[in-house]
Amino acid sequence: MMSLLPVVLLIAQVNPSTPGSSKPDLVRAKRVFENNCASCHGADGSGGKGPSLSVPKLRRARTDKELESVIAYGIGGTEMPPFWYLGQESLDLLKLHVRALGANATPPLVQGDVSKGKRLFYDKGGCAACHTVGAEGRAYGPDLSDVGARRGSAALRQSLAEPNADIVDGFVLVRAVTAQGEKVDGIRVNQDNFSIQILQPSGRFRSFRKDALSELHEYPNESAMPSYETIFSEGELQDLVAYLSSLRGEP
Amino acid sequence: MKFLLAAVFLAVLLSAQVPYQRILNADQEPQNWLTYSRTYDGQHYSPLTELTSANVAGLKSIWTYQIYDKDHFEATPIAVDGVLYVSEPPDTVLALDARTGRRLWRYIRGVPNDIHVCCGRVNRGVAILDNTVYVGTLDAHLIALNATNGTVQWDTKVADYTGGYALTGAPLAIDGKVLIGIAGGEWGIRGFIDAYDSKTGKQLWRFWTIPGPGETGHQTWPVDTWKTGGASAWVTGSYDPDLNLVYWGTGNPGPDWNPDGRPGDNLYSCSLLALDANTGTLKWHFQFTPHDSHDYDSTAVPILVDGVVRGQSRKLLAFANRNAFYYLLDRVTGQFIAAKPYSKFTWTKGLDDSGRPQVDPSMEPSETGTLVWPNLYGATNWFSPSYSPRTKLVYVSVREQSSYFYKYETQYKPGEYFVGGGERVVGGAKAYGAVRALDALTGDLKWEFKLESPPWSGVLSTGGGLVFGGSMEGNFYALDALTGKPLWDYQTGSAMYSNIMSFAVDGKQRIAVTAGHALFVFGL
Repeated sequence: MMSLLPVVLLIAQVNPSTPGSSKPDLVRAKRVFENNCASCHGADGSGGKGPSLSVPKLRRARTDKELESVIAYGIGGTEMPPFWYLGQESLDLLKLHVRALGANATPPLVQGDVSKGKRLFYDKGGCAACHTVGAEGRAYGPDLSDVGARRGSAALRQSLAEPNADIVDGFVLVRAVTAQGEKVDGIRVNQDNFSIQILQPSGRFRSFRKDALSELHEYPNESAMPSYETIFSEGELQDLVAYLSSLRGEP
Repeated sequence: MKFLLAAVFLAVLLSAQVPYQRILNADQEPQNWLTYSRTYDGQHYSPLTELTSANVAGLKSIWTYQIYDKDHFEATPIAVDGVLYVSEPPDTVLALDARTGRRLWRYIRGVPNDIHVCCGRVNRGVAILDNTVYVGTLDAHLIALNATNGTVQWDTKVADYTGGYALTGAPLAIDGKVLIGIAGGEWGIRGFIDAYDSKTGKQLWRFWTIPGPGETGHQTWPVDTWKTGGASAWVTGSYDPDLNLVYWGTGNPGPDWNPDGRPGDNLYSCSLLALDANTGTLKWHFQFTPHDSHDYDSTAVPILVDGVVRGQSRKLLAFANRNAFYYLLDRVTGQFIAAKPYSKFTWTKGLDDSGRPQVDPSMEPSETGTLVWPNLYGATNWFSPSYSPRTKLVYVSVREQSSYFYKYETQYKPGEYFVGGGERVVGGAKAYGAVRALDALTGDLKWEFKLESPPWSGVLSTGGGLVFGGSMEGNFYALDALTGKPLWDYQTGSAMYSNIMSFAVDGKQRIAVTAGHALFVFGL
């Protein structure tokens, strides 16, 4: 009971008036959100590995019907998984909470300079040597065309400072050594029980039968990307995060 | 000429006939696959010996049949004298020329849009008896089709689909009867296993898997919870003709993840039932997971084997359970003989001497999520294990995966999802799969073949000393049955939700498997 009180107060504060929904509903809604959504979208919905939901408009969930469909069935081709199994009542509560987050959205504080960040991205950072944005850049690391819509700014900041903290699926570094002794380093693009497909930094795809390799090493905790924490100043990191946050898949 | 025509006519008539005696003596015709697990003992084994470890490397695609539905193609084909009978999702039945894959007939049934299925609009296969092919449908009808042209002979409504009742498993045809178990454990159904007259479609008996008022076991359900307690029976059972007993596994109690409203053992959920084939009366039962709260359906194919246990020759039943234990029961009495884990588990501390789990209360689903092994899909699932009488090993497709189990309040409303919780699956590198070979009489691990991710494909062992399996990365592969060493593989191009079978046509052994939206047939 003691611990419940602040939660109620917080909800009341965040969402003073949502028509047709009672306080207990809002408390339950927040709990369901924290249990199922917070690990990606942040406990306060401001984003993390997943996008911020504290925005006035969700591009994939403009209507309540779309929102329910996104929550229940996920978004194909993204990391958003389905939550249909939570049941209709929980889905309704989640819709309530996500809409409350949107209704109380305040524009994020712009701390960095987007155009400065863009220059840093292409010049000092050399980021386009490995990342694509729209038609620009070389494809080795993840495409960043809509990374601002997929990641919160804190997660972007962390990826720049600690690239090893979160290796995206499909970008695990491997080293294959062929029977002839050739070392092939690159990104594991795909694999099955018997074969592996590797993208070399040169852009060349290689494919091997696993039983034909003399060695195969995987580095699931090691990103191909260096840390930019010491390369950039704090201000430059903020500019870069501001630029990345502005990339929303719209030309 | 007249005589010749008559002879041809007679031959065709005879070749299309699958009397009960043929299924009973299936081992006399290894080129065919006459019932879901090939033989009534549920062994899912092919005695064919053409393919061996010496020549399987030369296995190649013979033909492919493509379907047009987007749901998983999970059926096990039936093979009879050069014809394959197979169901494609949702409820379409095909007869294919086993030599070429060309279609002989197709029965298409319209499925209502408002059907309730938890896990895809799937159908796992058909049964054959005499000149009739039997299929259960998603709107809970059992349909009899003429095996020669696919026309409907009878159509019996088994249950009202609007209440969440559905049929997804293959029927089991025995002497004059067609048996089928109901699906719908996530919709607040009351489960049952039915027998119908194979000629007329008239119901012969029904065994309710949750006892009604006055029946033994009814007291394991408080108040009215028995009416909506689940205990489905959606995977095809096995049959011992000598004992005249049908063995059938049952599913989870409902609501799945919130057991608070149903204190008690919740009989006969998560159990193995031995039913008298003539009357449907219960001879014995064994409950693997009393008062389940993790959706560990005991719906797998029971394997009937005979063997010597502690110096005594016994009629046994082996069961690789979703709850991560491999069980050995006496199939005459239901006596628990032994159990051994074959996969990681945390939901129980272990089993006591009677086989009852010592459930760990800290592993119950919770509002904040409880990390438990295995996840709701279990250490294995509907896809068939295989027993080889040659190696005396049971081969199981194993899923090594955990998840966070959640619990929520729920109330039963007809036709609505009734689960009281859910789970967040832990995937990625933390989950994997394997084919494991277990000593049938002890459950001891003999070998394993690791898979990149938890599989949804069953296994087939063969008289040539091979084990076939499939992976979620699309690999269809052959292993040495004694060592697990990979001998051959083929990339099918889609995740495999499949049961593998074997037949022969023109004296040549074929291996059939579904993958994605196609049926692939391989041979030398």
